[in-house]
Amino acid sequence: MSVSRSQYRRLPGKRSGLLRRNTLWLGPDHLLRVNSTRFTERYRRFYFRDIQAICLQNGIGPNWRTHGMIAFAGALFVAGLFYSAHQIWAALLAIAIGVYVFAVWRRPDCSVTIQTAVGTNSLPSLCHIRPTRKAIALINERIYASQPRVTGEELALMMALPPPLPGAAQAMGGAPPPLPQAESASSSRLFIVSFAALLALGGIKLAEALTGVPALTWSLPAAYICTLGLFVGAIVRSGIRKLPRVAVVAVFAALTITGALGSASVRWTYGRVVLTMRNEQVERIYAGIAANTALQVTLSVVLLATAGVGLFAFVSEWDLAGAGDGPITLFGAERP
Amino acid sequence: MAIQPALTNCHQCLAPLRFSASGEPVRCHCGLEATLFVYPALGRTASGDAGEAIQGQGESACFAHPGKRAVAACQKCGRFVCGLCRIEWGDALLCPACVNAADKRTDLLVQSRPLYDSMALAIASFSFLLLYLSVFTAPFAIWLSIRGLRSPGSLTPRVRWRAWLAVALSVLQVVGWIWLAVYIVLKAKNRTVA
Repeated sequence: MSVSRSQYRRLPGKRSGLLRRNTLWLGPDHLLRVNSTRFTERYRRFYFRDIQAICLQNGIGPNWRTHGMIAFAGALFVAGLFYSAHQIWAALLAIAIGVYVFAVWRRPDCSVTIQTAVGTNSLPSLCHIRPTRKAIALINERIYASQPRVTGEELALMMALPPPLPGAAQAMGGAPPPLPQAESASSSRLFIVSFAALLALGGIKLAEALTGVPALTWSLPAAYICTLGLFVGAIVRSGIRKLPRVAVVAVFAALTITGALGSASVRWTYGRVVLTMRNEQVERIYAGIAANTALQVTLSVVLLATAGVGLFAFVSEWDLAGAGDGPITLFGAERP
Repeated sequence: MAIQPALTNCHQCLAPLRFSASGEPVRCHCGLEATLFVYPALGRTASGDAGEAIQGQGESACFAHPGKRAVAACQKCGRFVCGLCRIEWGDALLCPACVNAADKRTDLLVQSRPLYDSMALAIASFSFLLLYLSVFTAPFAIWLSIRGLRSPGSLTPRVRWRAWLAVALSVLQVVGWIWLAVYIVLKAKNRTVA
């Protein structure tokens, strides 16, 4: 089997998922970060002579996106089990649980960022501590070979002083270059609209639980579908990568609750209108749930609370949502 | 040990991390431990040469900036270039025009590349699930495989078995469709004769 000729040598560590794979390669004079979507590869080069620092941080917290997505899938399959007693839903639920266990077992335990004069970038392939230490040892060798030797005192002095500004900034009298303009807040606006719809949905459900007006009962499935559509649209349009953690949790909680309750609501309404062959047992369960006012009020409060948390997270983070390129900023806020 | 300026922020809570020059790991208030590896490039000032003006007669001028003194000649086209136009391209000194005209497929310029072999294999494999679609997808997968074998592909070492497997699967599907067509035609002929 022929192998394409390459000047790169693979470094230990990789991070892969269903539709992504991140690896790091050692080139003759640079480090190559490869982010693959399985069908395309994107490259980023870090020249050894330009690397200023590497930051390794241990003990990364849980990945809320993974937890949220798996919880959402699980909730959908549970809703599917309510919808029909077919074994496929149980099998899918078992797969979702298996994926969850695997994700928890293989979760990243460290993260690495690399800093050059241009900016700070993450190296997602270095996410487990043992291969990361091996990789950093190999990278260190190349960096020290490419950069002039300095003494420990000189290095300490470099860290104590503020970082040097680019030549252009020095020509401007030492003033740091202006920060890039923050992106428009349109991405968070979509989520705010979605959470506002969820708030309205919670209000309708609460009113329906307390008054039992049939018009509200009939409007609920459409409201669920619209809200779910808004959330899915917001995620597809804006992504959730740059959102603050509280907002991500709120989005996935909203998706899970809306998906599960929406499925049940659509099934209940559809069953009352269309179905001619009814499953007595399922009908009894649904009727019991519908008649339980306390449960309905609790669910409404859960919807309202999720919407409130989401709105609060987005409105309070309005300026930050999308202003930066990732959580790491060059030299923090203390740059003079 | 004096507190040093923050170099980076905590990945978890975004608080600025304060490292000591001794290189010891630091613990953020959120509980995560961070180690910083610092290299001499941290103290290097980025140099930018704007090019010097011509001082007197007899000095060569830059091709793009007639008022600036030439400091080198492009190793590809021979044009004189000033400090601003001088580009170090690997081991060579080039002018901006030659860099602009350089082959965009050279590995130094590549920012992303499609993996045609993976696309072909995915299409060839998934068309087994929706077999009727393979009438269209099999030739497309063969085309993608050939394109994958002929195009430069990934920058990193990569075996070519995906492309060959995609070709094999797609050819199998094409043969199957041809066999089916022949079978239907022959059956129709037999019926007509009978």
